[in-house]
Amino acid sequence: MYGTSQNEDGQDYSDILISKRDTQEYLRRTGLKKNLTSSHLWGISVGAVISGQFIGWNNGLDFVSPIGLLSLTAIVAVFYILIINIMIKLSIAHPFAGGSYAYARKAYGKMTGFLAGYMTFVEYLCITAVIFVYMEVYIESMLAIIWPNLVSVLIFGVLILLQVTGINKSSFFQLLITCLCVSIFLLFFMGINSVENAKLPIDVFAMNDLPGLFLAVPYVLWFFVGIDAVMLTAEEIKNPDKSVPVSFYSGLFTIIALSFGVIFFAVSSVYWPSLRNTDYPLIFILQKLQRGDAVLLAVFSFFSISSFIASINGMMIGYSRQAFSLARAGYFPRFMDKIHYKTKAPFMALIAPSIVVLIIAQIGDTALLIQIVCICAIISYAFSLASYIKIAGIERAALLSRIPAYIGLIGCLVFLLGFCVFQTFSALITAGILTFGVLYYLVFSRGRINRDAPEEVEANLGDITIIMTNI
Amino acid sequence: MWFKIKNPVQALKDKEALRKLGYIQELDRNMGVFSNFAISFSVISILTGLNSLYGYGLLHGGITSIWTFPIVGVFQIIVVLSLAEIASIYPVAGGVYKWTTIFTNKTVGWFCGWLSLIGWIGCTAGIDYSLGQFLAAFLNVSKEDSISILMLVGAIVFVHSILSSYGVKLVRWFCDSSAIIHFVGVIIISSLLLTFGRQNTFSQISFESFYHSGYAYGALFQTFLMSAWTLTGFDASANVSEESINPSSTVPWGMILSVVVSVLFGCLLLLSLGMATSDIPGTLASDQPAVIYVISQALGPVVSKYVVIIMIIAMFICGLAAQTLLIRIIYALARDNALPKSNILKIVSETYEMPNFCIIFAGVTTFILCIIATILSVNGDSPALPIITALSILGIYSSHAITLAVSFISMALGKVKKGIFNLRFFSVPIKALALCWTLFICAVVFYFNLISGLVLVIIMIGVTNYYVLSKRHQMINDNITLSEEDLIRIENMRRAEED
Repeated sequence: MYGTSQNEDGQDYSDILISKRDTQEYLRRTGLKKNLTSSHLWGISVGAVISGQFIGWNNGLDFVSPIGLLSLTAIVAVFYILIINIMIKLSIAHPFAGGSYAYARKAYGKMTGFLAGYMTFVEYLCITAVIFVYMEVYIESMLAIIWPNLVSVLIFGVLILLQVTGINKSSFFQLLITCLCVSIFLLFFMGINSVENAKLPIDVFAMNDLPGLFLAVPYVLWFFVGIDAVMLTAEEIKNPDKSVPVSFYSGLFTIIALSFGVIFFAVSSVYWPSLRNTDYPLIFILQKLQRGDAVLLAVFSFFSISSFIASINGMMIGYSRQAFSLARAGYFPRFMDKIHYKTKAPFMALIAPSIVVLIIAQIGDTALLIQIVCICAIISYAFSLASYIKIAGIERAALLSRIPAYIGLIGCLVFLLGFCVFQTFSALITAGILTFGVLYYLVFSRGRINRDAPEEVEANLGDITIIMTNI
Repeated sequence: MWFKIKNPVQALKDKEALRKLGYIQELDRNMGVFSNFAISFSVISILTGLNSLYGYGLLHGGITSIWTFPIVGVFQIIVVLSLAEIASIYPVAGGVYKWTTIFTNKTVGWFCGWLSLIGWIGCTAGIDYSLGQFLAAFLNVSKEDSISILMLVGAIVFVHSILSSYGVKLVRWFCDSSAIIHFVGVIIISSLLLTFGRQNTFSQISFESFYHSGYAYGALFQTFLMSAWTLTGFDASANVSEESINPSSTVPWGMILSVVVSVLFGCLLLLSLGMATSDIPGTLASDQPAVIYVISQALGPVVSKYVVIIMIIAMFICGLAAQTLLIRIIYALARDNALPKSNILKIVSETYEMPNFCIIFAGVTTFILCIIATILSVNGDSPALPIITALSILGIYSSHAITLAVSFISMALGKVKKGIFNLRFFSVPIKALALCWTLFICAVVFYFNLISGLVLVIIMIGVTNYYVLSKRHQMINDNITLSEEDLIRIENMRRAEED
């Protein structure tokens, strides 16, 4: 495993270098608690993205036919398998809260590292904002509860409080609510299956032209985007070598299976173009098919809210860890690196970004936000993949094949090109966000970097190793 | 689990305490109060016991039968309090079998162990059989089709055995999550029933309605079967004493909490079911188990299937936990050469570190009991499930009665010291009450389920014969215990191996 100072000639330089022990010592003082097991990680990764099955994806039907949507989902699923495969290797080698920041910092230096972390952070904030908006509208229109804004802010506040009580309780809660969500899908499939008219409308190929496919990409990405949030818990995993691959793959495959199931059953059970005009496709379908079964409709619409809660909770884990790691290393304002003395939760990194989420949610244009989310996510993936290629080039023994990373990187570039051509406005906004990040780094962060943060120690260690290898 | 305590000093103390009782620490100590609670709670499994026998209660006592549950609950709390006191004094694996052996002699312990073994086989068989019935209902097979149900039960037993022998980790994971599944399941089911399925007013399910309904008062005693069978199995905690941290206090509290929580959640479940049961003759005449019929009437076809899936999962895990404990009991008996062919049964497979012959023994006896009950039910007029569960109650409760009686005598004679958990001066009245209650339940169940009573009597006659012919001699002579030097020598060997 790289990170130790063992070199190719087999000599151990740990006496003269900053050793892994220093990192561990620092982590012991300022790090997060190691508590997560594989089932928790599965809960976080699936829960973080499960609301994508309930909302948003049906906008893709504006541009492509069901077959187009399914084949696009297959492409994106392969893309995500590649990315997760590489992320698993990276997060086992770098078990820090920084995620893509840690990898890019190691491979390409401070500014790239900061930008990678910053784009991931923006991605998570926007995802949370989108889900928050959907939840607000959902509470108002479907559940008919008074003061929907107040109720959603209350739910948000309770989730923050839960996070502050420690990763232990919040991840357990996440596991429970994710199981509830998955079981709700079971209810949905059973509800559809009891009506026997399922047949995929394969005769419709009308809108499968290239622009249509590219325009639909963000809504298919929406199924998966944010599943990488679970990578940021790397610092809190009890037994990373074993539990990371099992849980990340099982989480990803759960989501792949659910998305194919949802698209297939959704488009084959009702007249599919009617799905374009609804906000909540699954409930819309059940309302059409099972109009007589009031209990089913009530149960399904009530429990559906658990998907929003699961996703917001998962995303909170994502953005709080990202903000915490960036603050710990001095890029973000240092007040966010405070850890609760008892529960070891980064509470300032939870509260401050959550306020930003509420502000972003006031924009309210979910389609625009979804596009921005996808562009940010692709940029952040590209950073991670490129870092992997660089690091694997240096340390051949630890991280083997670089071909998947190259393929993934090409995929990222194709997606980015598509965004620039077809979603120019969102791409421009994202470019603005990126420019703001660069300026922020140059003006505020550059001089304040904390060399003791584990990600920085690790990266500096890497620098020395590189020099020594070159000698 | 959550409340895992890692305290080396406590571990040493526990080891020392166990050595004083004459045993060597062989198992890894890592269970706290919650784990102890969870294992008993999942074996008690209100979702299994109440759901499978609800129809029996309806048949014999109407909706009023649900009120037997709090009554039985209160008395079972008294029983568990007195057994917890014993568990605190002797925290060794093996439960009632070991306790009675320590209190009196090997012969009494041996008979008590056999009764408990029969009870646990009945308990596992009852769970597997009701799971078979529920699966059959889920697959739209009639509950009268006993051959299909038996085939399903066979499949379930087979899956459980395979899991126990090859998937120790998976079994552990299932048992750990079982308590959560039960909590969430009961809350979901009761809230759905109370929201959408409320048919009766409170007065309609109270005793008042019973007064007008024309059932005989004696019939209410008959429905004790449902509640009494549900609230068994808390000696699961006692069986894992040697894997618990500070067992003298965690095991008693685990046992007590599991019964108290089961009583509370069971009342909630029964109340919601009782509120939703509108048409008793229709329910009893239907092709499905009563609970499934009530739920499908209340919640519609789709949501009821969803609820039934939750129940089936809970039952499956409960069956798995019960079988795991049955295997432990068989192993504990076989280790002391108390069973026929013990020298084969106690072989532990080196690859999987499980006593595979015990697993086969458990699976085969469970399945045979289901077959016998089905045959008896075809010829008589009682269904198979009450026969199995009554046998289970007779076995477990009589073993409890023996334990309580011998501990009562030993304590009255001042032979034993008190444990960390004790009831002080309430100890004597509570033990007396608990003893009376277990004898009462045995009598009631025996009276109303003569077939099961006869089956138990026949088995016990066989067991006594076996004792007289081949065991008596061995029991009387077999008084060799390990001396202090031997213990130290074995301990040193273990340490050398560990290093």
